[in-house]
Amino acid sequence: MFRPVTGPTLWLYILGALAASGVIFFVLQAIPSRLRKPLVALITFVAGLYYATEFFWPVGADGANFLTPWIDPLAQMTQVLQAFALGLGVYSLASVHLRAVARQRSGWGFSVVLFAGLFAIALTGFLREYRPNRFNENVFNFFFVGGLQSLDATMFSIIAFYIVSAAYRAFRVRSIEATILLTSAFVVMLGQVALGQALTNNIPNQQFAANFRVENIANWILTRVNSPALLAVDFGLGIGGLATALRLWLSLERGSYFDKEL
Amino acid sequence: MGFLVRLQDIDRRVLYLLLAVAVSFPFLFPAPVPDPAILPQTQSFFRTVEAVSADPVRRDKLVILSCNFSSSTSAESLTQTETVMRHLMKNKLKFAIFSFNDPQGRELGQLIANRLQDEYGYQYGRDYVNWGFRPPAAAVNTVKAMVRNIPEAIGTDANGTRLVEIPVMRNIRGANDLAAIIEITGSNSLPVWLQYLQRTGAGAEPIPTLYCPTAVMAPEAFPLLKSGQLQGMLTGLKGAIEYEALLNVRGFATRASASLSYSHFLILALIVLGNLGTFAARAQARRGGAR
Amino acid sequence: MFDFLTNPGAMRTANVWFAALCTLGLYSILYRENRFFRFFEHLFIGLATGYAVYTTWNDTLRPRWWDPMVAEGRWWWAFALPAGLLFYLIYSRKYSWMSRLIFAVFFGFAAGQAFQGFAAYYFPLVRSAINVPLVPAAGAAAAPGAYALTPMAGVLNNLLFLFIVISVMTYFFFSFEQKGPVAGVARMGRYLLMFAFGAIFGSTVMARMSLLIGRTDFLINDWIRQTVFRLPG
Repeated sequence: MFRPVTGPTLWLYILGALAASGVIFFVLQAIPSRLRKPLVALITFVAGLYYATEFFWPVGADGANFLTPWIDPLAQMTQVLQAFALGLGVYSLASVHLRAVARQRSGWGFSVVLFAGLFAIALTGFLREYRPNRFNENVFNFFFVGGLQSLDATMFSIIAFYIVSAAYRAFRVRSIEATILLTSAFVVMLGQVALGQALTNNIPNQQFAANFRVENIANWILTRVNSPALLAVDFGLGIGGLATALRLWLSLERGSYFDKEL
Repeated sequence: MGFLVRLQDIDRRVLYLLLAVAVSFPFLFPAPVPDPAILPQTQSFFRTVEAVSADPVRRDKLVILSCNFSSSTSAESLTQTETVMRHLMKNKLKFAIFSFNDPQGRELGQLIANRLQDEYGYQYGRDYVNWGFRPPAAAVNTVKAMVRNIPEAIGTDANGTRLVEIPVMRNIRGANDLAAIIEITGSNSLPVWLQYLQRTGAGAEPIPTLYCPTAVMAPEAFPLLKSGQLQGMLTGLKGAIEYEALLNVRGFATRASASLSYSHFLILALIVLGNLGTFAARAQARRGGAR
Repeated sequence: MFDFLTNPGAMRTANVWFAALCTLGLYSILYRENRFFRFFEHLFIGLATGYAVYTTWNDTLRPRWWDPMVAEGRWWWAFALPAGLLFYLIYSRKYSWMSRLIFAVFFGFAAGQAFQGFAAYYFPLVRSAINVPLVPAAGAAAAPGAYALTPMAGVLNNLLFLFIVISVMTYFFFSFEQKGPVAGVARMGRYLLMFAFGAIFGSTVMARMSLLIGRTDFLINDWIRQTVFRLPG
């Protein structure tokens, strides 16, 4: 049944598949409300069971077990379905700004600019792929290199100004904790830049004296104090993550999304 | 005393102006800055690439150059990409650009490759390939499939050509055919490689994994260096400065070293001034109370 | 009329001027909120979204779905369209429960993969946290790095490492009330976390400064020097 077909028959098959999907859709909609949650739980469990079993099941000499061959088609299926899901964000953004334009809300002109940018780069991108020539490449680059790349880089660089202001106002010696934070940040900042390192360049980087060079002190803080502290936090995160995964897999997770009646 | 007290409340626009001056001054009036100290994690990054190049078996395998960043961190990530790609090209290693966290990564990686390829005699398809972008939520399933079958898991390159038809992908099948993984990122995308690919090869040794995070993310990666899950790390722009020094290249990173120093000194000075202002205000309040 | 669009030099100039305009437009927010900033802010969102649409089609949907289905005749990929559209039912009041079916598949996948993820990521970390020699290692004195210059330095650092891991974990242990020496260890854990956060803040400053330096280099070197005054790079 699952054999490639060509010519006009292909479109018949495709339409047939879509029609079959439509039928499945109405069958699903006919499922009584009380059975919907168990169905969702069953799908979650089976989906999780595949990857869990594939990992735990012993493998043969070729490093594979009976479930391994399905990994490739599943990867392709996931890529396709998740590519469709990326449209969720676009849909959400477009609906907000389309409404703004339709109702001519204050600043609706900016929404028009947003759509102009969206269509400009998407269309020139498609043109570049389907009609590759220097003209299309250059027009695409105008929007990507001139526009997107510079806007993205600038938007996030603005934070530099805010962080200076924040560091200046927040880093005050007020408590033991604040003083430790300040000292650690101060040394790390000093040890990370060439001019800061130059302050102790006269100290030999050998034997016991090397311990007094600022870059070594900064790296010591990062590797010997910061590292185990974050490792301990990471252990907590790991165990919490595994517990959450188990709860999701067994549909034990609670919250507004999971508790809602279907 | 009044002047000192006022130091604790400098207007934000004055701070912004000071920062703009501190950052742009070295570009307008270049002054030499001492060479940076090269940290152990940068050295081990360099040594790992050299070791891969020196290994007769490994050097014919493929390096994954995972460009999981957008232009937002380009000053760090793009500079890291350029220095690392230079090293790969200098050592004639084959590599694949790939991104699964941000679509811009595949474009930005290609822009750097376009800029460098003539200098090192590299040719698309023969010496390197761009696998393109795959959706973030499909990353784990894709990487798990790559363990045994990269051409099937990825399918086509960014131009729509099937990987099996691309010369550089000849003899590249799965995890055993990977020389190293280099993750250049502005987000938390490293674990996917460590969890689902690094230890899946036939040998006892994990695939060498090198990490180029933004400086914000670097502190969290130090435990992974200690545990041997990472063989080296470049910390943001500073890592790129050190790497340029190791490669003996004077690029943007080296040019930026002075600005990085001046801006840090400005912040340190402002922190000191702010605290002086606070002390002065406290002293003034105490004196006022005593009176 | 559009000849300049095929001229690399002219296009580079146009790109740099456009990029400079975008950069200055966004920086205008530093003075105060204004329409110029909002214009470029919206342009940014539009371009980023449009680029994501283009790459999603070009890199994934076309080669992984459309071409296999239409060019190679694998008609069963047609089922992916309604399956993918299930995500969008989240916006429908009547059919939103069906979006759970497709979300359930991916929740399940993620949960099932978590075991391998946990083992591969955390086992080496746990091993490295436990495997810290507390007796001087032979040859440690010759090891590179400032903190391993003497055999005892390595031992002291390892003791410190263990102490920090334990005290920070104690700080986050809320299963019973922390009293006596445990409270002291937990307090120490809090102080040590401050050390780590300070280091993170120091690194954050460097990251943010780097981004600003990137834009400053563009404005001064690429735009003013090389494009406006045509000075050599």
